[in-house]
Amino acid sequence: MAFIHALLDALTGFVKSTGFIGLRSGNIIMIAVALLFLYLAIKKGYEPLLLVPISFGMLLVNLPFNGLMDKGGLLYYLYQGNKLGIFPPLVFLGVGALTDFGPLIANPRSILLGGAAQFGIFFAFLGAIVLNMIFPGLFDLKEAASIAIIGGADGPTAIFLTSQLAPHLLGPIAVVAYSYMALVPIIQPPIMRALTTKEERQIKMDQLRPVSKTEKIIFPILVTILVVLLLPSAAPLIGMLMFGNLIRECADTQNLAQTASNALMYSITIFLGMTVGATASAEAFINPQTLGILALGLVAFSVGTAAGILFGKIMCKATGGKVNPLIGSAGVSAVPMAARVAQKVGSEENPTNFLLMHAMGPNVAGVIGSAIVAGIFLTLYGG
Amino acid sequence: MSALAEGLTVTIVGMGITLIALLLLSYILDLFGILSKAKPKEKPEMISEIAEETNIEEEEIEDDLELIAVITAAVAASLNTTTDQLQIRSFRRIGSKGSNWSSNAKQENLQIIE
Repeated sequence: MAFIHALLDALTGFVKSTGFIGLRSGNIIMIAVALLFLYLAIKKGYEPLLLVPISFGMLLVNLPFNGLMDKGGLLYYLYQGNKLGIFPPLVFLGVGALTDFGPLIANPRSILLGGAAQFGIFFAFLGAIVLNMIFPGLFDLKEAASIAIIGGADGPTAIFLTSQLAPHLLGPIAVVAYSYMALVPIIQPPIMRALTTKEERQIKMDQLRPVSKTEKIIFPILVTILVVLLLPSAAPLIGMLMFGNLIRECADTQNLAQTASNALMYSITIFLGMTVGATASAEAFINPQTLGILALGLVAFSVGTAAGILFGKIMCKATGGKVNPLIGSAGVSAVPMAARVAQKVGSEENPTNFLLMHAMGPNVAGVIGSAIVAGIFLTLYGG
Repeated sequence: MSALAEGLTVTIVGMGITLIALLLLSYILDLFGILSKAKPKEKPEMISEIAEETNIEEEEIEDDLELIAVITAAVAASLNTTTDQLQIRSFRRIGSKGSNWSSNAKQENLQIIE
């Protein structure tokens, strides 16, 4: 009899230790969301390199009792790389090693389009403040800045700023940012067509001049000195981006560039993605703030695109019709997707029009621009 | 209301700093352009009539435009100039439509020479 009693005790103990007992409705919803993102990433190809790790981290952390994100858990320790602001700049190192700044050097004015498109960030920042006035207590200014940076269309920048200003929103902000980046080919074209005339879309741009190796080597050094002196808080992002670019352009550091843009970047992406997903617990995700983030993120993307296009129209007028306004939309970063969208919309009007390289200028300028904006927010609200 | 005022200030200052930083950068990049033009590297407009060895079949006419683009780019790269300085007037196929045996033998000979 005592034996059966002990057996029953052991069995109940085991059953109580399983995750099934701990499953709450919130967890079930989050598991469903994680599975949906896995489906979108794997089957539909929406940013799979990031959404697969993020959604798997989301799945893991919503299976109860595993303690992965509690102190002492595996993902808790990996998460410190995000929390301390280490992973995003390392991803930027790899991005720098992959980016060719040649089109930007060849057409210096196109860099301004990368600045104009950052207006989407500030518009969303104002939007968050207005939402907070309607629903008091929804977002404070730090949270507003972190949400607004989604409009930079730059994953590492968004994760970096959020981890410093509003770490509790990291999950929703990262998921929303990467989802909208995957949707750039759907979000941008209607705005681009609505704001430009057929004639403007047909404008052909002069061929870019060839850029010498020396210029490409001096460029990252110069940007680093200028931007970091102007905005020291942007140093982690800009410094790493430009260092990555320098090792790309130097003939003798190809091995470093190879490692930075492949092995290192993908290792970091695994850790960064999984732990960002792991912050998306049911409590952090299922609340009115997520809805606000979803709406403001879309506003930020759309207004950024529109601001880029409108500035492109100003440049078109100022240069006497030498600039196709469509390349302005690429200023929102999302490299190289936004540049491809500009190319596609341009070639729809005229199949012999090749805007891709012209759009790459504002596109990579957008990366610098959003890193500068992140630096401004950090200076104002960090610490 | 004070939050909105702060937001507007941040927007104006933030956009201002971003645009000034990038404007500064673009002016410095202008210097790059001037310096690279200062070098006597300008070449006169070149018109090449180059016969390229290609494996194109006659019926693939619609692919010709793409092929010309590729050839222009290749020639431009080898002459160290840009494609707008070049114009491909004509190109034709060189080489026989010989059997695989002969082309294979040709390649083997090339490898021996290397």
